[in-house]
Amino acid sequence: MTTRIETSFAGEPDERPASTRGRSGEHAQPALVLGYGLAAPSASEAVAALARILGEGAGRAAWVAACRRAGIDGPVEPLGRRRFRAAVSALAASGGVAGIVGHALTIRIRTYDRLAERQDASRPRLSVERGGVA
Amino acid sequence: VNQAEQGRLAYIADLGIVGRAHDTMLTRLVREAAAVLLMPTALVTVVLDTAQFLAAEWGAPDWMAEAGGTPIEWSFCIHSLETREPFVVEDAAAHPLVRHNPLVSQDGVRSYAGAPMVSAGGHVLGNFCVLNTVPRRFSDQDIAVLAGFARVAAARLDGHR
Repeated sequence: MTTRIETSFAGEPDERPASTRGRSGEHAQPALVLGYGLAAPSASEAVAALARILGEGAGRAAWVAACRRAGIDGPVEPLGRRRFRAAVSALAASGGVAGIVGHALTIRIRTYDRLAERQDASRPRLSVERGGVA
Repeated sequence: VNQAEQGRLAYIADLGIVGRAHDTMLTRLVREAAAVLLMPTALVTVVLDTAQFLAAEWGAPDWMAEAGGTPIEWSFCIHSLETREPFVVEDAAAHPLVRHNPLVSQDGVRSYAGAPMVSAGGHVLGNFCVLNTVPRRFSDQDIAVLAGFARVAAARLDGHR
């Protein structure tokens, strides 16, 4: 089979399934995927990963460069969902070790998305037809 | 991260395989390994920094195949990175290193055997592994067969340089 791990960015600012959304908009704290303990990846996670591999200064520089290539002109942390994913895609496309960090983050994002979708789909829903419950 | 790990990640970056479409030869290899070892799932994993990438898969859970890998904290294969030896789990529910892993508690993995894929440059790239949802005893012969698959897969990955 073919694996594609690029991300897509339809919808702003928060396209997580309803049951996993935070309450305070674009910069809300990520919710965990139940059972897996997995939070939505964030810009701070990306900066920390790059710092571990490249060192603090070079790591932050790589993140800023990825953000600029993604068209993000302002602050690079925190970022909303769409802009964060655009920056991760730019990082993955950068090649070298920084690109590997970007690909790893892409896998984490896609894992979160797939499991959060599954969690949302299996959530019990009230029925207005049978019980008259709104 | 130490210099050796940086070198390993740089080597993987040079292979240019991460994030690309699956290599059909590796896919044939995992399918064959699953059949030979009588296991429903076989994977070629490349261990990155915060995730493991599936360079090939046969029988992986849908979400894992769609994600192209898993977060690194769920990786069984990472246990071979330092030891450079096969990692074997005959009953995951009773194994101290993996019994709390969500792949066990949520996806039902109960047995695993993985052999490290060592590159020509001496780096452990990841594991060639098989998984099952029931406990399984692995014989020395099973592990030798798995190690053979791992050598072939490592050579194939090295061929991308």
